[in-house]
Amino acid sequence: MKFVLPIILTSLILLTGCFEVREEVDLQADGSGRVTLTLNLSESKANVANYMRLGTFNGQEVPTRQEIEEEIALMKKTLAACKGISEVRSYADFSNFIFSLSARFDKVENLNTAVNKLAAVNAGKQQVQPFSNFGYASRVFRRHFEYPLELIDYQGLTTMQRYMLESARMISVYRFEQPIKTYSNPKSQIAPNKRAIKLEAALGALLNGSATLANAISF
Amino acid sequence: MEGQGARAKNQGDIRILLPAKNPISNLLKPLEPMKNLALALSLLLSSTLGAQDLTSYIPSDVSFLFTWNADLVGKKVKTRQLMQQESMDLIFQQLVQGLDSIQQEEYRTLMTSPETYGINNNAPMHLAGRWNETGNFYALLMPLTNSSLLETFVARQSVLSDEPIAIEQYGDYSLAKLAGYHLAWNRQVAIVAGGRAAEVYPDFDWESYPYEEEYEYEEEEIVEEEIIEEEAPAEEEEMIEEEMAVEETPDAVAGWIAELLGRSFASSLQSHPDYLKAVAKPADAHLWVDYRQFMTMGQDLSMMGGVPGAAGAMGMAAQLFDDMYKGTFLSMTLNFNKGELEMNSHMLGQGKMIEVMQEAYDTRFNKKMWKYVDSRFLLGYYTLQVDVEKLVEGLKDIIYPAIAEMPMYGESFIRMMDVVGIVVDEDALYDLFKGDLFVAITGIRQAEIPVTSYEYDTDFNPSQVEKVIKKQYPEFLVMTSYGNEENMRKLLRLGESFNAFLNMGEYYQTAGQDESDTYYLAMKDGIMLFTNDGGLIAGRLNAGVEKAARLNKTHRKNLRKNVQAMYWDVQSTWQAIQETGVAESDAEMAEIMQGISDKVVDATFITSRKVKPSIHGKMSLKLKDSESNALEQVVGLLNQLILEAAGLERI
Repeated sequence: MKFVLPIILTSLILLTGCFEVREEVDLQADGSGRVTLTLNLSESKANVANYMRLGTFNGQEVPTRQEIEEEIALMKKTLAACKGISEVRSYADFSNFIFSLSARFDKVENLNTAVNKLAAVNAGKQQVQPFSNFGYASRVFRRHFEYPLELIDYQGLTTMQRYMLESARMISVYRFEQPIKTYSNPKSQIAPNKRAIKLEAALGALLNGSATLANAISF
Repeated sequence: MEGQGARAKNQGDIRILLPAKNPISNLLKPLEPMKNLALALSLLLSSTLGAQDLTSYIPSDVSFLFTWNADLVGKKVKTRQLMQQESMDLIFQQLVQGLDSIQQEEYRTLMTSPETYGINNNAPMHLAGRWNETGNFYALLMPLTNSSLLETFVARQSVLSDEPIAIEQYGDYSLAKLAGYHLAWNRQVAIVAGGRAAEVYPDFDWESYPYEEEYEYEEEEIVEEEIIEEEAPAEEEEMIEEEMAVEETPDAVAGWIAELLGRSFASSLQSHPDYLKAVAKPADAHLWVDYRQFMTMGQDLSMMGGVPGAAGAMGMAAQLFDDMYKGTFLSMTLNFNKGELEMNSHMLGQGKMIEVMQEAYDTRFNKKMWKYVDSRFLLGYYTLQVDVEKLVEGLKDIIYPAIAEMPMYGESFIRMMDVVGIVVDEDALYDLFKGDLFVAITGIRQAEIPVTSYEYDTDFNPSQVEKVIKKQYPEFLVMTSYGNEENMRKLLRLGESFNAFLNMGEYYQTAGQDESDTYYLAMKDGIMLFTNDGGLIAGRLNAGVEKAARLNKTHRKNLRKNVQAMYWDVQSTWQAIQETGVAESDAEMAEIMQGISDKVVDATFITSRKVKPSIHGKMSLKLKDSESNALEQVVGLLNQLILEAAGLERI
């Protein structure tokens, strides 16, 4: 979520339809696993394609296909250089505008470090405060959600931007080897086999603080 | 039932008992400073019939005058019944909050039966305002049948209020200074007045003022002092507030009243020839505005003209408006007819801008446009026709001399425009765009757009699926006439070179992803067409739409006889929203549209081609209930909205 935020806010400039961000973590019992992040702009593909063709929108520069590919390559390179991160893969579909990045991690702490590095690369020269997005200890997997959201002037966004954020979705899916015993976020949905948990929220609700991705899952 | 928020019937009137804090009080917050004036204004609505002209008390240089012709309205509707709406009671309660119950009762009587206190509720009432170098003042003029009854009312208020009200005598009129406003009366008229005198600035020589680069600052040693924060005692704060109140300008308001009641002005509106023309045809309500004062409102020319920076620029704009609209007046009338609200506007006088517009409106509608407009699903249109050359040249005649006379900017501006004149071929531009515009919304369409989405299995593993989503969009057509075809093609080729659109032979097209996102541009017989209706451009550019589907006679007349025409078919719009699923995708908008369509059939606005003796505009709102008077319907709607806002329902 952390490095997704700038992407989301940039996307607001480009989109007039809804979009979806998905975060998936497949966690092994030993604390290793795979993380996958997907951005699906398919429902706004007509607008995105037009703005990319024009090069600018509302005075903002719109990246070209080449620039996006270079950015993805940089993210892959950054992730691959992180300690404990391997098998970095990316997926880019420029006809439907679906982008995905996934990697294996050997322990959750290394995943946190990698996410912070990715956020720092994404922020450029801006200072980024490091956060722990995930935690795993004593058979409890935690998704933290303690970002400085108060810095986002949500009410200061235009009506159209707020509408888009309210219609855009953030989905988190976590899968485990053992069955889930408890979870803290009541909005979660649990799979029939009890080895997967899904949480869906509007991006607007996450940004204005009326919803959270925070969850503590024990097994 | 009695209590907070409950209603009770009392002496035949509907009363609503409100809690001290309620949503309606928020609605009325902006009115608080003018609470007493607002109460007096409500009297406007409660009048019914008569013929007592008070315009002799109104100076001809007022900025605006609003007249409520109660006599005409009273013939159409029972205004006393309108005053008994629940919302009026809510508003009244807000206005009289803080007064004791006897005072409240007397004010209620004043509002519902003003004749009890000598106010003639059978004659026109006027609200006048004037803002000029002396200050901003307003006055509500009410005709009297018996001034002693009003005096009794004022005397009663003096006894009932905490502080006695002093009634001062000035010649043939009396004056009472009340909280927030002044009340004055003679045998014929009562005036409620308020306002504020202009701030007085000392004369300042801007030309010889030593600006920053010439000024030598003396270096001062700054000594840091220990700051002790101390709360001021509440009593001191009250004292400060009292002192500030004393600094207000009650004498200026008294002076304004003296001017009105003493008729100590050069001439009244009764001798203003343009005003007399404007009121020759009576209307239920009439608004008279000095357009120059309206356009330069809030801009003090003497303070800002020629001063560098933003204030100087504002001063320039104000000076320009002054030149453009001097001697220009706006007269607007409102008539409440059965099933129709009709508003007429007349721009009249000898202002330079009127002459320019009269010249610029000397145009003809390009009838070739008719064949492209499909009226079968028409939701509305807007058209404008001006002679660009006459408009631009006319504006230049006003603007150039005005700017040339301005210090600091004038000379540079004229030099700059000389250079622009070398580069720009004005005649070629006038020949390129003829100055007409036709915008029509010819329906709401629905496009099916394939998108890639995800579905999740029972273990929440995502898999890509192809879906089709429905997207609604308005179908539009924009047309404008052009003169020089070759020059217009040069412009289009420029757009083509920037990949803004693709050349498709007979027409141009943008590279959209789907039909909702694709736009077409074509030139045919001197008309440039821009639309998202691909069928029209690709298939019917030569023949146009079928004859039976074209605009009917009423619309064609609207376009032919007027230089500006706007039409909105509310019922067709609502029908299209229901049929195309817009209601499902945007429930909030659909709810608003349903509310409008329950009341309104259509709305039209036109500016007549006949521009002499005045530039005439007309707006008409045709209501669904064709039997009831528009005023009753409007008040009923307002009543409903106010009650909803207050969280109450109609009995």
